[in-house]
Amino acid sequence: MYRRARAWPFGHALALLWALAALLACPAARAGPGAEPGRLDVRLGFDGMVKIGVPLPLDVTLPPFDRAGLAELSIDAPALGPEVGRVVTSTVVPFQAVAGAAQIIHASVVVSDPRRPLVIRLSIGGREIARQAVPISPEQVAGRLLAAVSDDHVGLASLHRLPGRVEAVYVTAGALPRLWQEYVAVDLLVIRDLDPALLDAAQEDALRTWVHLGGRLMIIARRTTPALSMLDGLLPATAGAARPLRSVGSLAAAYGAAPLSGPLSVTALAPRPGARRITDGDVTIMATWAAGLGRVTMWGVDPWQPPFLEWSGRLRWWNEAVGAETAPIVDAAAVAEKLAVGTPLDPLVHAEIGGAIVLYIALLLGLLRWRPTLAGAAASLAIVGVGLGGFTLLARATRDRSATVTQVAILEPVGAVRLARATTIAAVAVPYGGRYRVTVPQGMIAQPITPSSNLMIRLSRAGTELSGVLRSGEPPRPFEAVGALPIQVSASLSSDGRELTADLGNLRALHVELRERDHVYPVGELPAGHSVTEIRPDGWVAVSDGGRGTSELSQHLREAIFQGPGGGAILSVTPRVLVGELEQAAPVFTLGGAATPGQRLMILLVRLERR
Amino acid sequence: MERVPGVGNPVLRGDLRARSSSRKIWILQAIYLGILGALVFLGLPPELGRFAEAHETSLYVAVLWVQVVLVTYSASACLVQEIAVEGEKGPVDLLFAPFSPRTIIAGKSLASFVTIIFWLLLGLPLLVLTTAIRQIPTSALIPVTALIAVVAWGIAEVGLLYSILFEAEFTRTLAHWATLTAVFVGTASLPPAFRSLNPILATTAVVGGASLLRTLAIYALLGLGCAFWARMRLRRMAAE
Repeated sequence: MYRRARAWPFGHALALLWALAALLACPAARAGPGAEPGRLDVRLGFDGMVKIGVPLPLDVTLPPFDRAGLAELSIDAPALGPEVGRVVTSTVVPFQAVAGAAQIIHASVVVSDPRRPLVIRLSIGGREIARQAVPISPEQVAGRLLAAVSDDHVGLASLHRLPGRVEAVYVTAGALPRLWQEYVAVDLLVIRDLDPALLDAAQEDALRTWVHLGGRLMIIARRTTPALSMLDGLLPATAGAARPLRSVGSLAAAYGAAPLSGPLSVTALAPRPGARRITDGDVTIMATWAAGLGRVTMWGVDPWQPPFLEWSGRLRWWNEAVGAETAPIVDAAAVAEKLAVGTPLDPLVHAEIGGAIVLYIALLLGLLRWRPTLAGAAASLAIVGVGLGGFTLLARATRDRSATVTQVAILEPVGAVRLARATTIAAVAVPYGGRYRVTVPQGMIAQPITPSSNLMIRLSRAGTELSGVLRSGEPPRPFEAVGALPIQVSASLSSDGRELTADLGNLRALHVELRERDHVYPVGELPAGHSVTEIRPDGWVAVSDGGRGTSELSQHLREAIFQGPGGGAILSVTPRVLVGELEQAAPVFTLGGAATPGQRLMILLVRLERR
Repeated sequence: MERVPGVGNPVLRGDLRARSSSRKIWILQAIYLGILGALVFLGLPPELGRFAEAHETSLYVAVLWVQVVLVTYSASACLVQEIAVEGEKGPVDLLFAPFSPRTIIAGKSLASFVTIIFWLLLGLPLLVLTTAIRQIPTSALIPVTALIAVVAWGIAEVGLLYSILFEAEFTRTLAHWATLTAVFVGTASLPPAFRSLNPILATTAVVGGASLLRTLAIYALLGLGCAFWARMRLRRMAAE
């Protein structure tokens, strides 16, 4: 007993050591002095489902903290980049922390390397308060993504059997994005049970803009579903009364499966003029049309009804509804490559430096020759002093003038709607190396095209700021910003292809040409407003012969757009396009400290309609 | 003042006066500044993405390499009398004047050091241009400039010794070039531990952040040793 009692002091010491070690090892302790416990509630993507390389919504719910003040939420997203070592892009959202209140912070993030977790860090007043890793499992990465707003959360599980890694998720009205760019991950949005009152104005606008700019929306019309007034202009039909049907034979014909046997409650649709439809008897069960660059389909048949869930053709039906994986029509990487070629160093900078060097040497030698004495040598040190100051200023000015951002904005007007998708690709060049800071206006989502470390994306109400460091001689860093612009442009070709009718609004286009596969028709200049141009059938020439009269950069870019790695994606989806340069090219990316505006180009890309 | 080898040293004053009025030194300075200026100008990247990172570093360091070579050669060539500066007398000739060997050696050594510093100062704005444009802090030039100054002075003191040891001009020139070859070429083939003796490699290492104390100490000791030897030799010659 005595021996055991003597052994305890060591036991206490050991226990104390372990307790200290455990305290030091716990994440809260690692967060630094004054760290407060509290787990961040992170909602990434659509019900946790993500897509690689596209902007995703991220909502972080912060628990109440004791501290208030200027705070920052940082999201470190790993990326697969050409650089050796870990490549991480940090997105920072500054906000005002309120003591004792839970807060929800939103950010758009791009996941490029799902093998490593996102790391979310919260700091208040410059002190890290919380840190949390958000791992992404392979099952969370979708190839094609279907998001459904439905009260019934069953029936879509079997969709993963479809080719192309189709994943289906259920989302609530509150989880729908407020930025249309965050919908890019979604291949099909199905709205079945949505109370429009639950959406705020930003969500409604984001949904409409996404559809106009290429999104695919499916509405399941049901008697119990409130009318979606915010989508009125987009819907190809209006929902009528519910009709019981014993079976829907037209679906069997359309999808090559056994008839969909009932009984089924089908909502009769009243299609709008121009909508394509499927009818069963005298009941229109489906109506669809193109809404801008996107498509809206309205079904009177509820695919969540038990007979539909058991129907053999449902997988094929869903496969067609989800459609092929969407990709941006303009290959940003291919355009960025061409931009890098078009960012030469200002020759005037060279001339100035050369002149300054010659002047300095001439002054020194002149003085030393004019006054070949010790006093002359001492006086020459005054020139050295002036030279030190002068060359330091010249170096700074040269840096500022050589740092440029070359950018091209490609506008894809929707047509009937006053809206255009604006994809701006920029190459930031800092020839002598150093820090750069580019800003993008609010409403555009910017991301790097080439993943690179030392990149910080700072989101604020004023816009997005991208900052990082480029080494001397390093190639320009390419970025992409996607947004929407309120412009109305339309162009159409007559049915015989001999007349081009264009309405450019208040814009004027230069170096306009029509493109069809490997042939180009030079149009020249198109004035603002409505214009009609005759198209001569013998005026089409091979692409290699066309393009004269445009700048070298413009020619490079056109090649990249039409012959990029995407394999001429534009021409494969639409037979003819009109391409031209807009006279007014407003900058999207602004490089802080740059003394020169840099080259910029605004290219208009209109899909030609046949009329 | 005679006891303080410095400001009041007549040999120092005479040599500095001779050098400031020398046409040869003026031409030497013109060549030095011209080469540095051309290098700085050509070192500007003419087009983006043309240079790899490794080359980019050498563009800035190349200016320092050229500086160490030119300054070292010019300083030692002046003392070894390979470049005969108008009005500047050799140490042996000065023995016939009422100057002690100590005054002669101190004056010659200090004149050489002041000239080296002057040349480095003349080139400094050009160096600042090439560093500031690449956002390299100007303070980074301090250790490397100190290294160049000490190396150039150390080798120049060897030249001073040769000017006393070898009477024949041809022998002096031969010994001078042999020394320069040994210092700039021979040391590069030494085992890695001793390669920091090579002024060019040492300059590169210092730019890369390596410690310069060892190289500085060796060349400073070389210079002091040569000066001491030269003084002893002069004293013996004076006694004879």
